[in-house]
Formats: sequence, structure tokens, C-alpha cells
Amino acid sequence: MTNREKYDYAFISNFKVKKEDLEGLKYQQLFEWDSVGHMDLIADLESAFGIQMEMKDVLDLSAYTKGEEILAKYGIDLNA
Amino acid sequence: MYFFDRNKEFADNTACIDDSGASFTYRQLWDMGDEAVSGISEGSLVLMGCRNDAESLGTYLALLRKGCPVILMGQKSDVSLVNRMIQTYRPDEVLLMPGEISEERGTHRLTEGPALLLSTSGSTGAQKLVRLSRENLQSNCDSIVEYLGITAEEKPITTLPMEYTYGLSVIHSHIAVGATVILTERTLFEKEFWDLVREHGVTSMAGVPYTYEMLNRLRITEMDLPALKTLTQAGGHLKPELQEKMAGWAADTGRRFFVMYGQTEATARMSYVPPERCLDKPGSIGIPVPGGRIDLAEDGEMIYYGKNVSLGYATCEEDLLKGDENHGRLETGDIAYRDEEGYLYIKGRKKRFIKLQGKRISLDELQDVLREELETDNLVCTGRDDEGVTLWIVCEPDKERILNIFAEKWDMRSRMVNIRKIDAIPRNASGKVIYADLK
Repeated sequence: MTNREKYDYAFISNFKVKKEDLEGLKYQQLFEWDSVGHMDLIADLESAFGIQMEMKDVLDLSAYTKGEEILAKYGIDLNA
Repeated sequence: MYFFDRNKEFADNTACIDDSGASFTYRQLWDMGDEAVSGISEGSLVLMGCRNDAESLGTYLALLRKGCPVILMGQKSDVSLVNRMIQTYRPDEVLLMPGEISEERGTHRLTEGPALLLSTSGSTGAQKLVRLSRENLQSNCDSIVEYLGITAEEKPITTLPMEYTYGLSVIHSHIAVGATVILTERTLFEKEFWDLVREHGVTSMAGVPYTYEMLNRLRITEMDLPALKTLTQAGGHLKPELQEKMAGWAADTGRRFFVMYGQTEATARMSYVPPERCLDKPGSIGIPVPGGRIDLAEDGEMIYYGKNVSLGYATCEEDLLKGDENHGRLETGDIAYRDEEGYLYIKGRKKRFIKLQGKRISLDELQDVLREELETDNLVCTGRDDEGVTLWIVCEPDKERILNIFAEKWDMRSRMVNIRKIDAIPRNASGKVIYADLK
């Protein structure tokens, strides 16, 4: 899987959404993405990329589109 | 004097600060609430929508003062759920509830009996409410103030919804003593939440098990939160290693970590572990709250006695007129044992219940509603607190539809629902389902 595929899969599997809906996803705007869902998402991203995210980044990842910038801090390029 | 009454002693204390940034003294909160309910007469049944803000709190307390029984529901509740509640109980007034709300109203004069009607979490399919008197509320509030040692100096922040019995008990027990409640709709995963904690010097937080999972993930033990002195946990069993971690951190840093146990049927809380015993009593739900008593029945079921035991249930409008059916005695449905020092440990449940995100859910009720909705008797529900509900169904399941039912009726996310297709439901000779064979 590419980095982008791994990233997408964390959202798709946790929130039961389709690939075409990913762009607009925001924390708490989606029924499935509540705070427990957020915790599960972060856990899956951390294990998929073998990283441990800082508290600030855990809080900042409040939309699908924010991941690119946040994961780049951990040396992960979603467009590689 | 009740906790919701105007208490001159702390009229000028700050009662709450909410997400608008505004702070309200007790007098301001009382005045605002009285104004909001001025057109409503004593004994009227009111369905009120709430969120963690000053308007909700002020209005709610004013309704209690006025003697108007309140059906409290979250403002975010599903509209169809709100409308079923309205059709079932026909409230005289509906306040602070957004959305396309049913116009149906009734005429009540309930001058004695329930002060507050709370949904028994999870079993919303049947619109079942717990009837709580003002004495119930006050008595549990007094117990909580006593064992937590709550003073006017406290500044708790809301981490639970107001309509949830545990969240509400945090509010009651602090309003009773003139403390300052930080009311917020922000979640632990928002920066603004932590800004509030620091800015106001929050002194306590309450949480159900998943709250502590989150706090652990956010590494609360490494945060610099000098004002935070008390953490309380209820709403289900915390993983032993997490309890040990939290209790150990609290002990090392001069904080208090309380593990507690309760049910809506007992207003909120029935037992607690004194924080100095938390590390040497892992897994225990502790000792009864002040004023309460717990006996163990022959089969080990905990029987709770206290003034906080609710009057009973309501499942229809007529039930609102019923008197006290419990007489201070509650069969908890939880099977426990007691150690030589009197500490209680839950080891099972008498009925088929699970606790999910702090809510008690009856598997039999889920099953009944699903059978009706899906028009088949060939399904059963099992469940575990840590895994959620598993639906076993004989026909080919329409997963999307089933998940929608769980979402709409019980506010349950897909992660809490497992759907399994099986060839036949295992039954014994007399037709009873053999749940143990479902795995």
C-alpha cells in the first residue's frame, strides 16, 4: 500500500465512508467521527506508519485534509 | 434548602462560565432561569433540550425550583427520538429543543411525584424514563458533596453531557455548594478544551472509561496542570492497568482519583473507592456512598438501600402519576462479592445488560426492537462491554440498514456493532436461546 492508501484506509475502515467522501470529512461533523472514533483513528494511523503523535498533532488532525501537513512532520509523505 | 434553590450565601459567587466566554453569578443564573420559565405554571410537564451552557443550566434549575417535572434530553438527540418522547408523554411545554418538533402537547398538573425524568440510557426504544423526586436528587447530591469533600473553591469542567446522569450529578453537587462550573461542549480532542482547563484553573474532571482511554492517549500524566486535583471515574469498568496508572499518578502527584459505581435508577451514584485505597483495591467498586447501604442477596445480587433510589419507571403518560414503587430499595442487577474489609467487586450481571460508553444497554430490548424492525424472529443479540453488541442473524443481513437502526434508535456507532450471519439460532429443547453457543 502507498502512504496515501494507508492514510485513506484508516478513515474508511473507522468511519465506514466511501473514498469519494474523504475530502470533506471533519471531526464531529460525521456521526461516526466522535471522540472515541478519533482515538481509534489516531491509534490506527500510529500503527500504520509506526509513529507516535504529539498531543498537539492529535488535536490538530480535525479534518481529513489536515493529515498531509501533520504527517509530514513525522517524515511521512502522503504523495510519495 | 434544595441545591437548586436561591441560596443567599453564595449569590455573588460565579456559578458558571460557558463557551460564549460569559460568566454568570448565581444570582444572574437564577434570574435568567426564572425569566425563561416565567410563563410556565407549577406542575406542568416540560421536555427540555440541554447542552453544556448557561442557558440550559439556568432554565433547568428554574424548572426544578418552580416544581415543573423535567424530561431532560440532549439538544443533539435524534428528532425522531424527541418526537416519540413527546407523543408518549405529551409534555405541556417543550423548551430549548431545536429541529422539527412535534406540536402535540398535553395538560398536566404534577405537583407531587417526579422532579426529573431521565431516560434509562440505552433502552430508548421503549421511551422508558426513570422517575426521580427532588428528595432523590438532593440526597444523592448531599452524599456526593460529602465523600468528595466538594467546596465552593472547586472548578470542575464538564466532560460529559448534561442529560447523562453522571454528568448531571457533577453539576448538581457543585451548584449545591456555590462552586464554579466550567460548562463546555468542547471535547478532550479539541485544543480549546485544554485552553479552558488552563485559563480557568480547572480543579476536577469526571470521566467514563473511554474518557480515561483518551486522557491516557493525550498523556495527561505528562501535562502541566497544577490546579487539577480530583479525577472521578464511573460508568463502567476501567481496565485494571489503566486504573493502576491513573491511581499511581494521582498518588504520586498529590491528586485524588475516585473510582465510583452508580445507575440512573439510584439518581446517579451508589458506591465509591476512597482514593487512598484505590491502589490496593484494584477492580473494586468500593463502599456505599454516605447514607447508602448495600446488601448481597443469596445469588450475590447487590441490593442498594438509600434515599437516592428512584420512585420507579415510567413507560407511558399515566405512569407519571404513580407514587414511590421502590421504597428506597433497588435491585441493581449486578452480582458482586465483598472482601473482608467491606469492599465490593462486581463479578457479573444477573440480566443481559452491557455497558457501552457509560451507558447501560439491555440486550433483550435491542433484540426485541430489531425483531420488530427487521420483521424476523430469527435474530439474537449478545454483547460484551469491551466489544459492543453482536447481532446474530439467520437471513442475509442488510448491513447498512441495520447500522442505521442502531444509529437512529440507540445513537450507536458502527464500531460498537458486529453483524454475524448464522445458519440457525441455537436453542434448547424448550426453545430457549443458548447464548453460550454463540461464538
